[in-house]
Amino acid sequence: MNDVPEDLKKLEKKAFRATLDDGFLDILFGMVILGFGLNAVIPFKGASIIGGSLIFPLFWNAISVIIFFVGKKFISIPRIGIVKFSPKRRVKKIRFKIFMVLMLIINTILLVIILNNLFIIEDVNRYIFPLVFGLLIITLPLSVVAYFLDFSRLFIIGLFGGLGFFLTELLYPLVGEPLDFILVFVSIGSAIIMGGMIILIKFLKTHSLPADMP
Amino acid sequence: MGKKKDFSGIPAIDEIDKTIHEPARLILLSYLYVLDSADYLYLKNLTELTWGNLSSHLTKLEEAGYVEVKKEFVKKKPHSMVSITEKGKTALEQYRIRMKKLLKRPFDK
Repeated sequence: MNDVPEDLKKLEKKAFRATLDDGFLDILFGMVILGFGLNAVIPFKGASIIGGSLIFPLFWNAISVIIFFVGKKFISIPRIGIVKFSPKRRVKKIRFKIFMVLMLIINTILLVIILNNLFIIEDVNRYIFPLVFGLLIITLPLSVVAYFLDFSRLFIIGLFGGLGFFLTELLYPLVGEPLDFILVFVSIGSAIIMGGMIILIKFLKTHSLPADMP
Repeated sequence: MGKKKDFSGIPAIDEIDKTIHEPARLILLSYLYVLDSADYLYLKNLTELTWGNLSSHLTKLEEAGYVEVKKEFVKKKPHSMVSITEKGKTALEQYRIRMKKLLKRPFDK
């Protein structure tokens, strides 16, 4: 695509963006963030602390991914049609899918670490650590994806998701644990899901199922 | 009428490919230039053309040899995928060059 003129590259981006305008990616990330908060509420205590804490994130993330792919297959594609992108874009899409799987694995490990207090640095300021941690683990990778996909909403999702840990630390003296986690991540996750739902409703209104096509 | 007008080095307007020059066909061919292939529905959504217009413009582009329509089977149902041909790519590139020359010259000091 390097030899493709800039105006045509914009067209390619527009064609690709059309595949993201259904809100399912927003809903997926919103559900993952919501899972952080719900995990603090739903007690899945197994034989071990780590094993018990792993059940819900794995289950929740799997459900989120299933909703994403089912929604794409049965709601989006019948309405927007089928497109095959250039080989370079296809490589990008594969990289993105690998990245998403890695993100979900990291997210699961992260939940286990946080919920079991396995990683506490006593000397570091209690506000600085969660801020840097969230920005590095969530905001930075999502921003990289947002940049490469030209998907600006992901910057905002990444920013709010990343600030979540810092906000829980701010709320902790006021509401205690686990309400700090629940309030912050359920609020952020729900807001992102709501945003995704609004985009999905708009998408459904503007993209009706074609009666017949050539 | 048979003789082409002299535009002093500017390519004659007659040389502009009229198959591509029509806005709907130009946008269709431009999208197909950057995509590997797309079905009618995807192209309809991108271009906001009606089914009738989309079909007639794609037929003209196909007749000119600029695009090809392949029938594929998706879940045992026939599905038409449209892609640009090498001839179509070359024609679009030449069209861009000619139009740039044509539009640039009057503004050159």
